[in-house]
Amino acid sequence: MSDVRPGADLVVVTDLVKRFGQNAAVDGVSLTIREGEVFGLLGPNGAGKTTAISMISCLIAPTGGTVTVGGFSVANDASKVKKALGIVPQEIALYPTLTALENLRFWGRMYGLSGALLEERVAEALETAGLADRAKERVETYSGGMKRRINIAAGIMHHPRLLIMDEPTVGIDPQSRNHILETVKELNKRGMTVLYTSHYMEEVEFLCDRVAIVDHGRVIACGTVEQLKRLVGDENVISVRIASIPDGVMESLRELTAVDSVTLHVPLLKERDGEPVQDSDVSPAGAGEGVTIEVLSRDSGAVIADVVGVLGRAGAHVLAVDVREPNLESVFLHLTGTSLRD
Amino acid sequence: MRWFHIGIRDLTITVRDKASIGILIGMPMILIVILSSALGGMSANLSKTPVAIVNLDQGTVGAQVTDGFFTDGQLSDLFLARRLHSPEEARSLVASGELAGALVVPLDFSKRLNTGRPSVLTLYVDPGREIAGTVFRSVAESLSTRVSAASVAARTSAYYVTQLRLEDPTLIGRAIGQAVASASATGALSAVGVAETTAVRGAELSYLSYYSGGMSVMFLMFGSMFGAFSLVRERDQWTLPRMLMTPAARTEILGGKMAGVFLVGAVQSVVLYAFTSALGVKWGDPFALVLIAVSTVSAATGLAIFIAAVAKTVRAVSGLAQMLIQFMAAVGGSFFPVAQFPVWMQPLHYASVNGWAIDAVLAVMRGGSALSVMPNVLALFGIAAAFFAVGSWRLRWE
Ligand SMILES: Nc1ncnc2c1ncn2[C@@H]1O[C@H](COP(=O)(O)OP(=O)(O)O)[C@@H](O)[C@H]1O
Ligand SMILES: [Mg+2]
Repeated sequence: MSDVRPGADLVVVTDLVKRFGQNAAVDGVSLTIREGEVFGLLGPNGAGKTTAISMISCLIAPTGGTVTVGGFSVANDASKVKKALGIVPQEIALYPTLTALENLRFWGRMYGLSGALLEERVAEALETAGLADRAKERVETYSGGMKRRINIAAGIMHHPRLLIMDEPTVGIDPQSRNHILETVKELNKRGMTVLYTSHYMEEVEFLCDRVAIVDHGRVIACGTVEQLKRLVGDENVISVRIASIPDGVMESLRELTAVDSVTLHVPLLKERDGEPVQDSDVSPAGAGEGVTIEVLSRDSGAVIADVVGVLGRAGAHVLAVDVREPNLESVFLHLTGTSLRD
Repeated sequence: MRWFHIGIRDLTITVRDKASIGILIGMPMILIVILSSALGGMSANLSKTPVAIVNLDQGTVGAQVTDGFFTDGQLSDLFLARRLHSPEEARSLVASGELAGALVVPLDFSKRLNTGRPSVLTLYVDPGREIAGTVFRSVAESLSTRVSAASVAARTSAYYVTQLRLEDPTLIGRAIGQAVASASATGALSAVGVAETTAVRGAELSYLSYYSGGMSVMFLMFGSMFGAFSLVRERDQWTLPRMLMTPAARTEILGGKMAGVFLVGAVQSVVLYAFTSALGVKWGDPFALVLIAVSTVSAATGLAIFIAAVAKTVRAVSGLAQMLIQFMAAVGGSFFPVAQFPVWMQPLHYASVNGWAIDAVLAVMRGGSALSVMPNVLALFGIAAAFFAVGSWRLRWE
């Protein structure tokens, strides 16, 4: 990576469009990723993130627009672009009946590695994944988090200039997620530029130097996390946890003056890898009981009493109240009027 | 060399999958044993080839030549012979496909031979039944050589002629045998040896041998189903898109997938060859067999790409593959010898990989050479190329 020039444009996406039939999955996206940064693509499921990175990584051809990576066009120099890229797909794209070691050797060879260099890079990737001691076990015997880590390891052995990670933490336990987030930071420190997509705003906020928020195939905002938060203005988030939600209370809250939006978060029990796990992201107030209502307001000091009053009159049992600074979730809410989560 | 690594990886995955190995190698082993023992014991002979014998000769030599078809153990195992009196009738029955062949012994055959004049045996063979025809021809040739050897010997050895009363049918066999032995010993009849070998090998073809060929070919074709599964599965589990995002070219990836199917077929061939050989099957010329195996596995590989291109899901692959494979197995003679099919159905076996492959395998088992099965080998490569061309043209990558 001798030709790394921090700050220079590594990826330039211009007016990128992908239509499936009548439906535009990516609808005129333009963005620039600079050498050395961690760039986030934040958006809800179906926003077009995977479709966009599939075009950047030469998997599917754009309907319109252009992409260059390191100055090479995806349309005309696909093989040069592919050499510069490391891909971590959204799915665990590994061979379940092969061991981690066999998988990594195979993917290393696909990137042209062989011999001593291959072995060295495989060992290094296993070290990064923290799975060197279980390398000789079949991937199918791994937990979801371990599979995710090998999925990442398979994309970094050739030391790509740009590492593209598509929702690399979906459906895993908190420890594995933290391990992965630390890994991304570490890889970036070693000099890899990272394009990170997620629908988890905390991850993007934690990792990314710059973020593009996408919805319905369009970039609705782009900048540093601080710049994006400023879009919300001086609004704050009032978060109220209540035992259950009385009928009609959402409407009453929305009618309050100085309230911009109201959203409801119900903790979900989701099936993952056969076991129910609590999705800790569903409620910012934690995986506690009850439901959480979030109210976005310019004047939280005055509104907080009204909110609690409305809830009290409706007969809701208030468990906790919290006021905090806006986050990327609030930015998304502010810009789209809907929540990032499904 | 990416294609090579992809192929080896697919072979590893298949070999580790107990279900695949069970179907690709276990099933044919079991079916070979079951089918051949169900159909009359493992050493029982294959369905007899229907032939006619027309003996117009009044003398004893003609009877001697033709009686073998009814009394000789080996020959009557191989042929269902009937006597006819008219060469024209025999000829038309062969032409209509009812008989695989007919042998006509001419009038005055004994007289001419006994007086040292040449005579000709006439042979009608159905060209549509190459293998049965070839065997019949070689048997008849070997008989006629034996007879002419006897006549040569008789003419050259006054001793035999004077010692034997040629009218005695029991003695003439011994006389012929001794005459041939003495003629062979002089090396004058080296060509006889070759014809005899062919005839004897043909006689050894048992149900066990037949089904070893038929089932091996059928299960090599099942390799194509697993190859197509593997492609569809890679599409679903995102390893195919992931490969496409590496610097590996599509041709390398396709080549690798084909190498995988091919390697699995090669392993199947070797294991089934070893297994059936241990049961006593004599497969014949190894070089010819390698040619047949390579061309058959190529056809299975092409079929894999074709199926993966036409069927988009594992279910669709399974349905289409089973339909194609069973149709080809049925018309191609994997289950029943083609000679037992109704006449109108017999040409269908050229519409199947199995037909070409089994024909070739049986010919080699009966002593055929690599050269003699070359048309079949070329046909198999042609089928492979056609499947591959259509398949790679229609293949959906994403
Ligand atoms: N191959 C495809 N055919 C048709 N529609 C597709 C295809 N891939 C994606 N889409 C649609 O495009 C939209 C964006 O999908 P995707 O890029 O996967 O979103 P994300 O990764 O942000 O969740 C969705 O509405 C999805 O249904
Ligand atoms: Mg996606």
